[in-house]
Amino acid sequence: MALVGGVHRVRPRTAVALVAVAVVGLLSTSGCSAGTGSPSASSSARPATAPTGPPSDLTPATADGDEQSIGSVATVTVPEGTTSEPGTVDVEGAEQVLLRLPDGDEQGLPALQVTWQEDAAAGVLEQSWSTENLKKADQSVHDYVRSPVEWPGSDESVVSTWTETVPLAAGGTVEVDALSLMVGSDDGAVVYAIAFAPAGELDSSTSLAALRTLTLS
Amino acid sequence: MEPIDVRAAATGAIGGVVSYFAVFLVAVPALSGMLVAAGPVVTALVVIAAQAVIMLLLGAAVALLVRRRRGLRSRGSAMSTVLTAGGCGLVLVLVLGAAAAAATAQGGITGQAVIVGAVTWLGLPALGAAVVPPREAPRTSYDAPAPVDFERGGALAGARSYGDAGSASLESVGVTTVAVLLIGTLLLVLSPAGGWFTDNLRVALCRIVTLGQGGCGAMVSPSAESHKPKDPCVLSTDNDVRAASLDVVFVTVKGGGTIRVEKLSDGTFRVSAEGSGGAGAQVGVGAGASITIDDHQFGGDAEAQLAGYVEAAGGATWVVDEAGKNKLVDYLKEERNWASVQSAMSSTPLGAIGSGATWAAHGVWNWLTGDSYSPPEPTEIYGQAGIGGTGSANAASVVSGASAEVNVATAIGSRVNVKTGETTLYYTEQIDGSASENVGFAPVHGGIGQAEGKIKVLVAVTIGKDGVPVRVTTQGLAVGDAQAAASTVFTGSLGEPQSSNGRLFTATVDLTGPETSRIAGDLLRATGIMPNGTAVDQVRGAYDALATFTQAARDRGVLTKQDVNSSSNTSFGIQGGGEFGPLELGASFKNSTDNVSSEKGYWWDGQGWRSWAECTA
Repeated sequence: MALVGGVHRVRPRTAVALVAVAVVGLLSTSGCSAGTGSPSASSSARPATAPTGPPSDLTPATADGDEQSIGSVATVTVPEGTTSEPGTVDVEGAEQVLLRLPDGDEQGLPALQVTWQEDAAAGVLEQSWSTENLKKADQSVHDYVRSPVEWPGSDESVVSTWTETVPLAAGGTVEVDALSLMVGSDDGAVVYAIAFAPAGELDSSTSLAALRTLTLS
Repeated sequence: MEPIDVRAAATGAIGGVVSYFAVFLVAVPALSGMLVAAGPVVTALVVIAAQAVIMLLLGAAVALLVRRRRGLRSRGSAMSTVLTAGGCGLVLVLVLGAAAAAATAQGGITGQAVIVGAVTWLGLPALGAAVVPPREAPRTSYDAPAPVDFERGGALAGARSYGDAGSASLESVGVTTVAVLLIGTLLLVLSPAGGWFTDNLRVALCRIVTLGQGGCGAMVSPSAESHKPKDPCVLSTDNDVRAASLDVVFVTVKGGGTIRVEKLSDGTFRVSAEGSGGAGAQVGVGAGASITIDDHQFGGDAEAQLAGYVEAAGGATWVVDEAGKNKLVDYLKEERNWASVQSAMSSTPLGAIGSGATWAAHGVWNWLTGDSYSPPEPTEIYGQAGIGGTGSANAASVVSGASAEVNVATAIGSRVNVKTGETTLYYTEQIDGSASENVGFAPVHGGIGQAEGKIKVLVAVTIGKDGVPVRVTTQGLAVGDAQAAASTVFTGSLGEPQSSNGRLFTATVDLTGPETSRIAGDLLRATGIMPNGTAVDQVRGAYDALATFTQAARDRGVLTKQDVNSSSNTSFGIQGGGEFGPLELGASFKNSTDNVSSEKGYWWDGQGWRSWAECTA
């Protein structure tokens, strides 16, 4: 620093060096501060409604077949010969379709049921959390697991799997495996797709293959 | 490059930092409601524009200062000083932001904050400096050569003329002060005493920033610091039906979201943070079960669809004493201001720039105005089931040849008591009031017609930690013509005319033995909540099962009724489990409060109704 004309002046190189040292020191000490990640997120906070199961390995896939529109929010691709039935939903603003795959048995399985709501009042985590509570209290549902998953176009996506015991009108019961995928679009729509198949046949079922083609619009 | 004018650089840096925090700690939170209402793009543009104006003025001010002190030969002559001022200001802001992040356990500095900061604190001041035209410095006394006094062996002690007197020492003090501040802040934050220092500094700065009006807390003595409680005092209630709400106040916070504060008859408070954009959303997003009734529908059609259950924005609930309630509400309200702005900006690409520019200010805001402790874990978390709870989203609705259901109740949500581990599931069911004839109720003369119309009831099933149901609660709101039907099914009689807007009935049966479990099980099977495994007996409908259940509540459970009135002409809702209050549906950005009260409450003593003193306002 030199006194020049009564004004203390610092050589630019010196000043730059001082500022650079300060910034480096800042960045290194910031590593000591709690947590990393987004500026407004606590390192230890996570939504209380977050899934607790291990991350799902479910991945999107393409398939040949007919493209079925899920309202204006999504599409799925189903094999030729798949029949479509409108479903009944008692949630305001929600719609549902039941897709029966062409290789169905006498119970109508495998099947893919898709429910969607364009302006959902709650997000994927919340809805799936509450649904988990309801399913776990249902005595006909077993081995319910809810897991996070990555899905294109959806910030938060959840996969749930379970087995359900369904009583038959003719007597007896049938065991059904189910896998659901719940995703949300940026404009507030939530889509809930469930693939049903006879117990033990879900992994190779056409309903799961069709569910994996779910694409948000 | 021209040498750096330290004094001008220091002045500019301090001025820039003060301006930055003044704008983003005071102005932006105050305007958060307006900003969020204007939309994400406008919010982001305003935030970015505010930062830009500050930086441009910083650059121009420093250039003007340099020009005044030594003159400017060209527009770029002051660039080195301007960049130094901007760089020092950036470092100061990031240091304070990092200290705040460390103190509040938030995320540390990110590349986004550094990059955006570098652009705004270096690039924009340079632009501001470039607009200052060059000019020679005004002649001052310190331009004159120092007189030489040979008798004193050198320059006179006052060779620095009157204008320069003390300037060197002043500049040295200034530079030293900035260096001490930088190093000292880092050391104090990272040291063991950092907690005591940062707490008291936070309190002092908070009082300045909020003009003494914020929930800043009290200074902490060094000896008391070690005794500072880590958790607030929390009281919990064990039965919401008995500790019914006396008074409910909804605070619609600027920028969106709602904080519901309910004063309970046992002296505790339930604080619920609802909606997005705030701390409540962090720990639980969703909706509780609600029933909403518009005032203009009173006395109108008895169809239950007009008194439909509407999902409200929900989240988390804390049960606290009055001191905890004040701290928690202050925290939730203050957190929401900045969270709303951040949330609003997040949906636009410009928001990334805005967030990066304001990261430090947001962190310091949280640090200054946050409570001396983080909010405790919520007592309850509740969520809306949405389309996941629809009765058809199960295999039984898909399998051909499945046993047919008669009624399938709509699951609307669930609530988990974090402390006890109990889960309460909420269902709605429409029950035909005209079925009252099956159980022998005749029309009553005197203005009250035959019980008819559909009664929409809320059925709440509480399941213990071990998976065994422990309690069933049914709730129905009697309004208009449905009042008679609801009165019939809950009380066993058509009741008397009432002067209030509505009457809320709540019947609870604890499942303590085989008989109560059977009665509750009948209700749950008749309403489709529980699978029945066989074809439902067509003679015993849901009305029958509900009437049997409420009889059990009158005999051995708890039955209450409350006259409810709302102070405003807005929709009011009933939250699942016994709470009630107004809901500002679709008016998230309106800053107002509404109050609903229970004028008179009654409980059934087995023989008749008794006044419920604790539940009377």
